[in-house]
Amino acid sequence: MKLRVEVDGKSHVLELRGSEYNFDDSSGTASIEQIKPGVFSVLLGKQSFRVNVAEQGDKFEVVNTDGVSRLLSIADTRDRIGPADASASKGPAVIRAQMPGKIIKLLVEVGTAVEAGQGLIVVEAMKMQNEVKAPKGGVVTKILTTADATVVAGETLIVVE
Amino acid sequence: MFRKVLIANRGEIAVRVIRALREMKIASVAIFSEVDRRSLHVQMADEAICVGPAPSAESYLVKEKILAAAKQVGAEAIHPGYGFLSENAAFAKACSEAKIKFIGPDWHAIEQMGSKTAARRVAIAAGAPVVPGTEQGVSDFRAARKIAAELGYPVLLKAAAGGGGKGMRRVDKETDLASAMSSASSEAERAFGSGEVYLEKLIERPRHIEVQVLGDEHGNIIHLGERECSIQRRHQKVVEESPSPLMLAKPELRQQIGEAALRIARAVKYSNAGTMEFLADQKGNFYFLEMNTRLQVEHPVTEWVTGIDLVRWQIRIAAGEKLTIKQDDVRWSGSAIECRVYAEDPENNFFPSPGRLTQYEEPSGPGVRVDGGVYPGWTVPLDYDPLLAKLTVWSDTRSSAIERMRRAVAEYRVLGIKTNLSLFAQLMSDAGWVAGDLDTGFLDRFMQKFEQGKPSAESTLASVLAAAQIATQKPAATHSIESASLWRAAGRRDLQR
Repeated sequence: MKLRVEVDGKSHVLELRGSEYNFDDSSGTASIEQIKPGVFSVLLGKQSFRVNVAEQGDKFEVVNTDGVSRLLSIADTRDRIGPADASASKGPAVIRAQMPGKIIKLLVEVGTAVEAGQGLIVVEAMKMQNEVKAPKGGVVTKILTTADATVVAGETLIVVE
Repeated sequence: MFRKVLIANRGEIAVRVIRALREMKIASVAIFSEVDRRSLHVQMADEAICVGPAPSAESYLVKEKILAAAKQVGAEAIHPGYGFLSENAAFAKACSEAKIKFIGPDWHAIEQMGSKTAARRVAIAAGAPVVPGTEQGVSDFRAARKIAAELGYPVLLKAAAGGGGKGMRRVDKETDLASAMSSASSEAERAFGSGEVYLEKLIERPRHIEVQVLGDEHGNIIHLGERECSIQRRHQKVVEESPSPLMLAKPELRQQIGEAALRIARAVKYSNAGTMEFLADQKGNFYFLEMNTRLQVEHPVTEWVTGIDLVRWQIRIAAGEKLTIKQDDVRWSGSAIECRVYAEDPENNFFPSPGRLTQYEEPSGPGVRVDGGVYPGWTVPLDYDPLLAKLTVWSDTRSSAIERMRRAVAEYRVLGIKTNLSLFAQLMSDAGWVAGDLDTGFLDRFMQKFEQGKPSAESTLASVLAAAQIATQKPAATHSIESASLWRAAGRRDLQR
């Protein structure tokens, strides 16, 4: 089985045949046992790694012996995978509320030209204020909320075209 | 002693108080909102009463509902924890009128120390140092020049009518004062409709240092030393420790700042646990800022180094007991550090990361304490502060405590949501942090260079092989995004549209 793996922004190829693996240019044998659901013992030679794995959307969250949590994606090489590219996106970007929260401040008006990454609105959720940024450059064409409004998940807030 | 106590709070602090009550053989009563039904404090308490829907304004903050719950179960006292109603003088007063003991100071003291300006006046009258400055606006340049010379440069010009940095100017020398005054004043005029500005001495690279006090209701009061809380983000403390590295260099400072705190506390006849917050400059000059008339989030570091259980003492004092510890009995031993583990993403501007804890494993072993309010499978609600747990370590020296914290952070496993644990992993190896060279701007500067630690090639391979076990067992499909950075995920979905 041949898999394409993305970790820390880098693409790798993993081939598995029983306990044998090819990972990019290195190859060897590995022994993998499940300790409990979501926790694996991986033996590389004599070295043991304890790895927690959880599905996170379309990716996998892993925490290894070093305690650092990271996301990786794994796909069969027959599937086309690739990260979304902001500059290549076409059509309007619709910014929706994905969590219930409160709109603290609007940083743009209809007609404001924005760059990708520019702050659009300040939202408060879980007692913390955060800026929601433009996913792409364009012009703000619609603002469907107001300062102080309480929003529910799924509500459309701003459209950037 | 009380037979039954209600805890008017949730999360880790409610769990902390329940544990103390159980040790004292006192029955505990939890309150909870509808969304908190499955939360840890509800499971641990002897009794639990629902006080309303998720928004705290309809549950945890409704005085009448909480008092009614206390009466319903026959609780003799209420522990308010921190946050929510803990510094609400009207609630403390209502408890007293309902003949239910409020485990905290008398409501008069809460009221008196509740306003920063009133607290500042109390401190001045008690002879404790405050940040020097004028409290009223100064419009005349000649008066300003005289005051600035007295304060000593650098000084800070601030708008009298508002905050947020508008109308604020740093002035390093007298020749800059006139132009700074006129620009600060016109900016303040535009922002607040009043061009009035006042002067304050600028404390460069301030450290946030606070002093724990503990007093009984018979006039005895002691201080339990300081906590350094300079590691902050947007005025929110993230890491706290005791002793302060500043005290390691200047041991006499603890007594000076402790005595200043006690002067203020005595002036308001303070009882129970309380904290005086100070700003300190790098030379060790300190200035009173404000008082927190309640238990602090970061109380465990003081408990570690003094061996004094603050929550137990809060309850004993409220029950009328005398403080049996004299100031001279207080000894400080070793070094304790606390990290606040939050459900937030340090790589995405600390955006809150609510959701389900698909896996959750706490560290343990020598010198490690976890004050948690969560468990595996628990869904972190959106409605409250995203603090999951406080990880505290103790060791005989600061440097070994840092090593212990690094080890404990590596043992901590939280999957399903983002946490700031990776930040602590990096911070514990930072040369500036290890040197104890801290100020309240430290974390912002640190975040500029923050990046996730890079694992070894073997570790990456092991992670990939483990994940492939799960990936290859499933048919390729799009999975729904349950949690993590929902806002960011939303942005990504919109891009792919």
